Amino acid sequence: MTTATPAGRRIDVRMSPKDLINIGVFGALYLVVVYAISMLGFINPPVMLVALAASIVAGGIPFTLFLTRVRHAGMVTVFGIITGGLFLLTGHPPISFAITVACALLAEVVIWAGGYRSRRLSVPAYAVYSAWYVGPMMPLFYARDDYFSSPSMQMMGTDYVNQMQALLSPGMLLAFDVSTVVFGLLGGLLGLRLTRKHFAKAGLA
Amino acid sequence: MTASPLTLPGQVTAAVRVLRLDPRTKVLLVLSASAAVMAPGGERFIPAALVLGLLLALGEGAWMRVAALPLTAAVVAAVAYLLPMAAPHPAVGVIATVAAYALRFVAVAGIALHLMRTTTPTQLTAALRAARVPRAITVSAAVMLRFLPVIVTEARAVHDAMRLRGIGGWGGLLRHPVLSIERFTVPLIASSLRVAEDLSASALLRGLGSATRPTALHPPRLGVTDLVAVLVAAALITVTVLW
Repeated sequence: MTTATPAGRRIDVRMSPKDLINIGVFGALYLVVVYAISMLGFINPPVMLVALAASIVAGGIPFTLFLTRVRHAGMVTVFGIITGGLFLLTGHPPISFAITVACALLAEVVIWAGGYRSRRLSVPAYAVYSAWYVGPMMPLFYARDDYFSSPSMQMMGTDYVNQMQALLSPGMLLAFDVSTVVFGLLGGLLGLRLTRKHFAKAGLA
Repeated sequence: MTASPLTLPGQVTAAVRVLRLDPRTKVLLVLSASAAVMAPGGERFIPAALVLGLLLALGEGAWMRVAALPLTAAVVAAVAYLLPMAAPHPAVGVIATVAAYALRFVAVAGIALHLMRTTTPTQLTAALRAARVPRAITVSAAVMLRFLPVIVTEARAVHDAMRLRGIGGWGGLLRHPVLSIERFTVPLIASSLRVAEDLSASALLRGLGSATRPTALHPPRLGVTDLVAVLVAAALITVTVLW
């Protein structure tokens, strides 16, 4: 860590302790914000979908603020690994972890394109990252045959099973994914606005 | 990071436990359970995962979980398989389908809860280090685990302050979604970052992120109990496959 940081766009993945602390702090902030707001939905099932959407939007605030402190490659990936890894250890499906890391890598590409300085690009970066939300839902789709071939579903008749199968079609999955990205864009915009409105003024950005 | 031993609310302290597994074994059990149960065709592994979760809860002496785990699984399974027969309606079907997935989640969570309740962040970090996970990940994960309780405390304080002013709650979220997100998140982040400044300065002073490999006070060791746990898990998998 004694060599001078190279200028320009060379991809440098060495992390200073300060970077690692920033990743940890914002990872924790992101988890608490997302968890606290989506928990409102579990108390009251009708609000579940609203709370889910709101948690995607709210997560944009710590994420865009985190991006103002990202100066080189790898930080967003580590962010994805540790937050996704914690979800993995609490029972989320492994494919969700893989999707989170893939989304983080895509977000890396977006902010790399802005030279790690562009605040505006943090909006699409968060939208790309928030596509990980589809991860925990994946088994609902790829493992749906397990459920529909179970003896109790056979007793329900083919009409019913076909109806439910249609509901869990890949099209639905795509629609869900598109909506997470849309809410991700909204979250990024909100994060950008609040960063300018509050955090820049308070010297935190 | 050698922070003071940190226990999350409701966490069992190390002294009372009977069953002592290496954190690496616990992580392995969670990951293999999750890989088996969440895969396509993984529904048949649900009973095995539940049994393993139950055995771990018994070994840990978590009597609440010994009772709650089978009960939760039974209720969720009833919603998934029996409810559609009682009320064959598409809306009920959606709930039943989600419940069928939630059943897998309950099965894995039973094992994950053992990991969460019996492992301190310090132990988990030491185990990750022993498993040769890259330094960038172990250090930032250690920081994250250290900060989570701090931020949860701050979040409670912000939530209390919001309730005192009559804003917040899910009603507020429905009426003014963006405004309530802003009112919750901005004070939370601002106050947490203030705490983070102090904690990170102290952590840096104590050598966090230095190139030398830190020594753990209680280094993780694999023992006979770990072997037994892995053998039990392997036996459960074999029984499920052969059935």
